[in-house]
Amino acid sequence: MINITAVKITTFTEEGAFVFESTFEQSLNIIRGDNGMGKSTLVQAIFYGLGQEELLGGKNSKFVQSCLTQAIEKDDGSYVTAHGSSIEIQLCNGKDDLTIKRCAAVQGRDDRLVELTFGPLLTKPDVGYRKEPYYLHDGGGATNKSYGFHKRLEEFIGWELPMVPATGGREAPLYIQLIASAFLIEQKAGWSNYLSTIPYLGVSESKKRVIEFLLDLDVYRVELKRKQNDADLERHKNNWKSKYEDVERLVAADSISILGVKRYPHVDFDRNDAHLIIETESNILTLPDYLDHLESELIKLNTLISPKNYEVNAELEERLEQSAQEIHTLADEENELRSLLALEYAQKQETNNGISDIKSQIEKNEGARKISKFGAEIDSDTLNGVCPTCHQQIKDALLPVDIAALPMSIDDNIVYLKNQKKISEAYLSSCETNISTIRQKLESNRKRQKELRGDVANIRLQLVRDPRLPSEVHIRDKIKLEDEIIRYKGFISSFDRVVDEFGSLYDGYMKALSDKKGFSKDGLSEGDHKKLSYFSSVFRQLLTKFEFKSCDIRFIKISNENYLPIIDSSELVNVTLRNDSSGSDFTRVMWAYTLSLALASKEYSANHPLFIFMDEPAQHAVSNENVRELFKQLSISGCQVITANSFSNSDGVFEEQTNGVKFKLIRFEGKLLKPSVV
Amino acid sequence: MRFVKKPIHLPVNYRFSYQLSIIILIIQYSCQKNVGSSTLKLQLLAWALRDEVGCESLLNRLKDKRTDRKFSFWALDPSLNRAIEFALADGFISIKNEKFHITDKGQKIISKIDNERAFLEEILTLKRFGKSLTESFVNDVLRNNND
Repeated sequence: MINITAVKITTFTEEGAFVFESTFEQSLNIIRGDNGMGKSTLVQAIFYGLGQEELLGGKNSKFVQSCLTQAIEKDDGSYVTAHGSSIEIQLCNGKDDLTIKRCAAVQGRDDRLVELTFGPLLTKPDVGYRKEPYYLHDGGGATNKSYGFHKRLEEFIGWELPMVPATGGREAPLYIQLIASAFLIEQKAGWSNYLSTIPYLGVSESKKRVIEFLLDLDVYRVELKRKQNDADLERHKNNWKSKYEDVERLVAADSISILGVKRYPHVDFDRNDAHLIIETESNILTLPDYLDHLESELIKLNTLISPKNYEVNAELEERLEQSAQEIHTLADEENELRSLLALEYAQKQETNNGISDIKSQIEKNEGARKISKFGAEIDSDTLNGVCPTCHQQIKDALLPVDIAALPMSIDDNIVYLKNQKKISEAYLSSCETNISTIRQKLESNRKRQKELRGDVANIRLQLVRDPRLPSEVHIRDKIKLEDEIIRYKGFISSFDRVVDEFGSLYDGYMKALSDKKGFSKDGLSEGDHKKLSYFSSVFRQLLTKFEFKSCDIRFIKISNENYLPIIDSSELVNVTLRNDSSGSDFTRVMWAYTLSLALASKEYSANHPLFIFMDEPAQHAVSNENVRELFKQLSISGCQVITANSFSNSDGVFEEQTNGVKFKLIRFEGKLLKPSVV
Repeated sequence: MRFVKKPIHLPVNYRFSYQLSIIILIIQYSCQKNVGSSTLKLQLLAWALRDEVGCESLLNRLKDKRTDRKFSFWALDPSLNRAIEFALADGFISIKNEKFHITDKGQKIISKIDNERAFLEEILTLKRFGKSLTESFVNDVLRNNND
């Protein structure tokens, strides 16, 4: 939790300092100031002092009112030049006090510098408090423990902000500025939608994440687990693939292939069915069988006495002829394979380009679809498919008039493009398979050629040697056979090892797969459902008290999907309450939502700071009784609430809206900033 | 025998909603507020958004300011002209001093795009050009091209 206990604004001018100073109660505080007197200045100064000016639309002092940074208007209507301001805010978290001091547009002082004093500097001034400088908006502002102001503020509030999914597959912290949009409601944009001033910081579904955090829903942790699970699956897949490819590389050149194991984990994997197989001229054998065959060959060779040259010359002549023939065929095949490979590469490149083109087309179309659908909300002929001049159908298309083609609707077009993408992707993967098969063939082809060339050279040499010497070619054959046996034995043992590893990967993969099924669809735990239904019921009670009329309150609830109010009845399913409410009724919805969020969080001791700031809550034509009811509910909420109001510049309205409500009034007569009296 | 007309795939630059967004984004991100944009500037930047290579060479041209440097061909898109006419008729943009400006109604499109985080790639590209791409630069490029 957090409270503001005091605020002090000092503006430095040519005529000395102008000051505003006030303390705040722990319950309802009403700031009353007539229009044009500096109420917004105070509101903005508080946002700025808390480092939350991004909710006002930007960073640093550019976005705060000019009177803090340029010139201030005095009570008599004349202006005096300002040389910047300092804003001090004293906070209490129920245990410790902290005073923030931040300057706006003071020469020689960086707007991003925030000076923290660890003590109640405003209510009990003392020079003995510890002071430390911190930085804001500095890249490391939210994460750098030693200097980041937001990080320090989080710790002071007692938050530990989770890492959440962000755009581009990254993770980002749930920045404090995002959360603040749920309880700091600014008057210009803050009332137009739920959390409408939430800044864009790359966090995906940021509003949802904020509500989950404030209510401390388990769904967030479930989501983390789900992501972990996805990552596990992905890891198993990649491990599997890299192991598979290791084996594939090892055996590729020997026309050996893998049977019973696929490139990616598959549920029907059985380690007893996994074999290396070899293709010989006559048939297909498993490698151990082939090895047996080779070993018996070797034994046969060993029992024979090596023949002499003159005995084998005729045989060698024939072998020479055969080998030369085979080399010729292999060379032809190699050429063919090379041109095939080049072709496949070119096709792969082209398909890749095509896919990225389609992707960007899809993105553009999806953007266009959003704008086109928006046509229903704003009054636009063209976006609704009608020419604004002649009222003929144009169907969102810009084709020349004389082309009579019938274009697809944008939805169909997106579906069409997505299908195109799928087709291209399927084609791409077939290209990749082809490439790897061709390369494998090329490699064994080259290996065989090399072998044959060696043979030919040896035979030629032997033919011109002394015919009485033993046949070297036959000795070489024997050695080659021995080498082959050793190598294949190596293959078999490393394959057995890898199959063992496949076995354990398979177990991990199957477990991750069954875990994946265990996640409930909406990801909400039982506790989450309880919290949300409590949230809904408080929200409905408050709507009743605020006299919400746009529809039957009984059918309103908080959505389990985005945690925003929806109407869910037999006729209307999942209609957002925002579209279906009148202007003033939506103001009531915003009051009830903001407050019930805090109350629900309080009930379950979740993460809401129990601090609410409402700038000019009396939006649209809400009645004085409604506003009084709001103040009453705020005053008994148990939260610290600060609200700034103009009360239509009238004492009567003020009387009517606050009658019977307990609160601390912060009233400034005339201008907010007064010359300081020393 | 009967023939049934099948709807055809429409390239996205023939979608009014796409071109409208592009027009408004260009005026918003690459034009001074009080100046607005000419038709040629809209055409030039819309082309840069369509053509990746062209976009880079335009950026280079903008960076080194040398007028003698030749700049590769750029093309006009007739569908953009039609989109401009529709956008004008529907009141998304208005004309002042022969330049286009965004109206309040057009501003709604901007905030919708912002809210939806749509057209991020386009916005990024336009931000790279920024507001330094002036009308006189557009005319320079055009003159150069014709030489």
